[in-house]
Amino acid sequence: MSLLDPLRELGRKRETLVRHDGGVDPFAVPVEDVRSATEATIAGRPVIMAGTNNYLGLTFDPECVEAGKTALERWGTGTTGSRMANGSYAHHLELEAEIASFFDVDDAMVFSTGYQANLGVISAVLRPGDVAMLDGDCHASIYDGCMMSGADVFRFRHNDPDSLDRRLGRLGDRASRTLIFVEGIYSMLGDQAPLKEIVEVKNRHGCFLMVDEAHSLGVLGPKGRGLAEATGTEGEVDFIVGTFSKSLGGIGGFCASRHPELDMVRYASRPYIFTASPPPSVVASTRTALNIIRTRPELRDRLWDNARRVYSRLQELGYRLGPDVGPVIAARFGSSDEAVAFWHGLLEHGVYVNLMLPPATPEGESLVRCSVTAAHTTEQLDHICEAFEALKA
Amino acid sequence: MADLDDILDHIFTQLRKLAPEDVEVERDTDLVGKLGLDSTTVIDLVLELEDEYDVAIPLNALTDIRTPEELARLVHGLVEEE
Repeated sequence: MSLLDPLRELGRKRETLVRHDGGVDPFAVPVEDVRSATEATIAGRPVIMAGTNNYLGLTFDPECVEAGKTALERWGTGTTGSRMANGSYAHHLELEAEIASFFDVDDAMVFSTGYQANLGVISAVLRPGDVAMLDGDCHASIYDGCMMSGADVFRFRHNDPDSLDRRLGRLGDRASRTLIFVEGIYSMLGDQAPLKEIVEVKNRHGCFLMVDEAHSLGVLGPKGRGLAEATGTEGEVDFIVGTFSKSLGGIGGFCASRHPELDMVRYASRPYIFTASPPPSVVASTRTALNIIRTRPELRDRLWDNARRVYSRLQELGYRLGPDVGPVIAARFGSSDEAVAFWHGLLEHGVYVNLMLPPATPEGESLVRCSVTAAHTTEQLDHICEAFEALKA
Repeated sequence: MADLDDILDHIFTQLRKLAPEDVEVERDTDLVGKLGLDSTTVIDLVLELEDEYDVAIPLNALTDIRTPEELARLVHGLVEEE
């Protein structure tokens, strides 16, 4: 086997996903124009974007755009340096203070992407000899961070506290050096971790807990802080990580913690040190978006109204969906061929969604992942549901 | 305590549910190349083996595992440590 054979094999698999009548590759979709938080042009066709993570619809919010423009003109296009060198501007530090205040903890760190936040914190906190205990559906960034740390990595069955309990029991006294990982909302099926039960198991075994609120920030909890807030477990969570690239409409990541030792991660985290910091315009729009989460709870209400509308309609139509109502609504298909054809069908009806295929999916299922935002109009939501209805016939 | 052959038989039983019908599962069958198991399926298999034998199998250890026999030896070693 040559060095390039595995890539050639991937190329052959990719061919099966592309229509040869000029169709679009579902995993390399050229978005030719973006007109609003919910409208774009793909393959020359106007589409409703129902496959983003733009949960609050803030990417075109006038305040966020203006903040970004002002910072771009005042502070320039990029920092050209690491947070450890010339890349910590006043705005980065202010954003960190605002994140810490938002989560009511002492410290927070900002990273260049959400992926790097997980990679950076996990690889600095865990060491060889420690234990990483992941929910089976945790995001690749968590898995990669754990593998990078050199810790022993174990998985427990998705959303199953008993499975976690059994595995921690097998670890004996290593449980005290174990970091458990769960997510507020899982990105594929949109379901939520049973956090109260997970916390109960975690406390019984004396472990630490990290909650990734990437998809739940701005979405769950009375103040939009995520699942830990919604379940009243914030005081039991050791690390909260998240991203700016979903409800906050930018790019970047963060970690907030009640442990003052988080500050030392700055000196031990290669993904934090060996990359440039987020550009000033993104930091400025993110700060504005974070303030909007604080001050405009009606966006969250609108998001949930929209999510309930689409979830219940697709359920009525007979689609097999994820178990929890929420902004991530995944329709499950028995085969990847069926899901690929359905994805192309939705695009022809003017609806863009995400296509998810094994092995990236839970239980080897093929998913058409629809996501709802606060910015979708009732007419757009009805159009999305009508496209699902037309394809069901 | 389960011996190596018992563990190997159990792994064969599990793999035959997952393998293509036309592929014979042997001690030295390549789990990924021949059986076409993807990472999710391998992890599900590991979860099943952990509960069956009450052991903790680190995912890091799987990078060197290519065949049913190698997987059985890994599990057997962990059982003996208990």
